[in-house]
Amino acid sequence: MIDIRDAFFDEIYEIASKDKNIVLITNDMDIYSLRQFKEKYPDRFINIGVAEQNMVNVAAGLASCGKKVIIYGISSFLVYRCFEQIKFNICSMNLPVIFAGVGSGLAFSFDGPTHHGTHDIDVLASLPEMEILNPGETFSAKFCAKLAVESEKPTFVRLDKGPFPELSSEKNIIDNCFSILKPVKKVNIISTGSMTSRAMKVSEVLENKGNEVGVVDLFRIKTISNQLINMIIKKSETIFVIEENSESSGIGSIISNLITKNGLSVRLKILGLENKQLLEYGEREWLLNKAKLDADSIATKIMEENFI
Amino acid sequence: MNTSELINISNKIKLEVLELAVLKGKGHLGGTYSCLDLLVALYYGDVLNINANNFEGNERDRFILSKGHACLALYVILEDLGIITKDALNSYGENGGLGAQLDISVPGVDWNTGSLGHALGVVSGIAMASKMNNKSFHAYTILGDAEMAEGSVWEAIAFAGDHCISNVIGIIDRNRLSVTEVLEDDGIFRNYAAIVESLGWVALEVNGHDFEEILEALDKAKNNKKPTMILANTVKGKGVSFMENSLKWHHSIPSSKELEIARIELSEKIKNG
Repeated sequence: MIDIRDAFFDEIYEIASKDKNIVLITNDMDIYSLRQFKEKYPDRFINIGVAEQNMVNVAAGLASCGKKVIIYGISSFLVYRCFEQIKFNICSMNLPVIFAGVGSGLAFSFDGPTHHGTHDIDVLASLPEMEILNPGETFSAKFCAKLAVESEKPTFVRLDKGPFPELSSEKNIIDNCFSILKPVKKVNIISTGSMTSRAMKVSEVLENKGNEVGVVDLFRIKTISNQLINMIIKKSETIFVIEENSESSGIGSIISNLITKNGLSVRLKILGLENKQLLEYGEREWLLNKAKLDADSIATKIMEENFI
Repeated sequence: MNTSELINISNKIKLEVLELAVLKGKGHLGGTYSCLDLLVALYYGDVLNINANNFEGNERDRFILSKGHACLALYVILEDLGIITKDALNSYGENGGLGAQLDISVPGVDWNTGSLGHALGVVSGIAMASKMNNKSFHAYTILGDAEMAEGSVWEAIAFAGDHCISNVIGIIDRNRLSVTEVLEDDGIFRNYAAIVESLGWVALEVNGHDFEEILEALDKAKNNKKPTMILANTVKGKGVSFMENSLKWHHSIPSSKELEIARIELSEKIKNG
């Protein structure tokens, strides 16, 4: 397993070897694959220092002159500290800048709510021009790198950190938006980001008890393909959204809106984090266990709701 | 274009700005008049290579009027240069027409405006792209003096200085009045040149209503090996006696009596110019 950031940036590195317009800007962040970019393309790598607002503004200026700029930083600092810069100089100018924000969910578990990426989805979703990608396994991380570079819109990629498995492949991906990792059943899990590998574990726990669920990894969380409605939501009796985001402002809300907007009849349960700034510090797994987002607790919940 | 011609253009634009602001009941005359000579120098003084034939191209200079509330002067200039139509100009202040801030749907406008403190970072990126792409254009911005309190301006100053982005040219409209206060020579203005130079810039200071000084500074700025900041000492409301140096004229609109006085003053200057 490789670090999901390396999966993403290795792909960016490959693309950059052919596309001389790719420029990488960071606020003093590091990762192995960035080092090779920096060494190979020093003229296209800018460490702007701890000055995020200016980083976004400079990126906007570069992008307006045809540069394809990728900004790499801790997600929460990009979203919150630079919100107006993003809204004003990137989105209202509709510049195809890519934000690679690391630290979705509780990836920075010991660093507190300044670093947590648990409430950023609806903040980003409030920007009409912004696309949001959220890969949770290494294939979609690479795939999202391509999608982001090809996009003509501003794109925010919610990146995790650390080793993640490869779960998907080209043939599982539907409409550049989601992967069907386990075939659709009456009860289906839609997950995103870090929770996708957990959703697979949940499905195994359930299978061992004789209950089958479908698993869908939603990696383009805005704009969502109609195929998610046609192929997944309309085919489901119950959908469990599993996410490492606030239960009131993650993909559950986005899917809930989709259901109501389209007048669909399906039972939706959102299993996410309580809506609070988490001032507790510990291992990510410990925090997730406390939130009953470990695979066993999720499986039990699904069992109780559906199969008993 | 010689100095007296530039003065004459400036007064004509002031009169047109006045008429439009009063007709539509909208405008920030004080801060528009304080930077108007700077705009005239940029657009008519052979500084910006922007005209009706090239404004959509990639090779020309870029300009952001960071204090976008002075947009009415720019609209009048863009119409005079043949970049926007008379009809477009006259749509100012109408539903669906030109707004009180700039946006890129208006031909000749390089950037949306409305929030302060952004443009210097953006022009730094633009200027950097110019160098990366082996182009020779410069990126200019006019900032308000009150805007210099924005932290992001200083992030941009540090950045452009550190990276020696010599084709960035900032001009501060130092009219000494914010919306509600007199901006004395305190804070950064106590020691402006030393502060800016210590961050890797060339600091120049001019009378922002003296075309010779403005153009000389801009000429130097174009050839500097570092980014250049020009502190332009200006007068808010410049050109209309009762508007000068008055907090009232940040966004007040003249009464019919005041309009008449302003009209006479500006028309006299144009006639005598």
